[in-house]
Amino acid sequence: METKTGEPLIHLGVLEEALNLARANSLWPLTFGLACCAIEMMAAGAARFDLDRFGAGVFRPSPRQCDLMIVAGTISKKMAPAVVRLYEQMPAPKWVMAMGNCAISGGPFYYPGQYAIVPGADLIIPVDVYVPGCPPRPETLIEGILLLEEKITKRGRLRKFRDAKG
Amino acid sequence: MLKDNLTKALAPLNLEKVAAGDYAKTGYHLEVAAQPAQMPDVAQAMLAADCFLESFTAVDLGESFDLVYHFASFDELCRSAVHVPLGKKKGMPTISHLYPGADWYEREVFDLFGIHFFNHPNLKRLLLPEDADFHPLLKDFGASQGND
Repeated sequence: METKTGEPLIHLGVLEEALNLARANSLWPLTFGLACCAIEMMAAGAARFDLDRFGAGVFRPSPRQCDLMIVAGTISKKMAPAVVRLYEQMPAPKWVMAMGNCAISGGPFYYPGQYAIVPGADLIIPVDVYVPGCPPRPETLIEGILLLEEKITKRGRLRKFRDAKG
Repeated sequence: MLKDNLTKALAPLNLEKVAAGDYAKTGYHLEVAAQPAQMPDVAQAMLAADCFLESFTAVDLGESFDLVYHFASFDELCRSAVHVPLGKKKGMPTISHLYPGADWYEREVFDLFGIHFFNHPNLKRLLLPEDADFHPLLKDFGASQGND
């Protein structure tokens, strides 16, 4: 079950850049909190760390309306088919963020010979950005969203973080 | 006192043990031991005394299981622990017709230990994928016996 996002049928040229800018600045995430990382995702979406200022605060519960699936939490073997199904239900262009150590590589619950979890979201769906942490702080999640924006627009951010020393 | 009411209600069942527990040490006011066949009657007595099922789990003791039911009450602080010894490869009557909350507890115990419950309305696996063929909390299930 490979989703092929290859070359588009119609090349829109410069319009594509504008479209990518629009897509990057209005990522609608799928509320897909599986475990503890969900709480940090909620914190990132709430008032103090506000995801809405990046256009990404519109969490949609339906995969049909999303472009970004944030896999926030451990994927148990029982949950894995549901993750794949939801990913397939998202319309292209779509992106996936593996948030937290569990979604990246099984996290603290992986040991050789374990029976319970899928050690990493990229074993079942293609992942675009990895956000490490257990759980990652909301600022880290925001950094992940900004990195994804850079990946989508293929250009750097307008305001990069400048070193304190200049 | 709920504890005395319960002790009186459990007396005619001829249980192995109905004793007052040391609440400060163990957290339970009443410690009960029962045989598997008597469990529905114990649950009936608990239900009549307005106790709710707090939790239910099992312990693999190697040669046998020890099923542990915890009951408590909202009206008065009275927590009871019921221990049921069960042989391996033996089944257990369900109490889900009395306590609907026991439905998923019994499914979880079946999933993790393989203990079968008679007359359970829906004894399927709860936590592991439904086509799993192992029971992970048994003592002889090694830590590295999973598929990974």
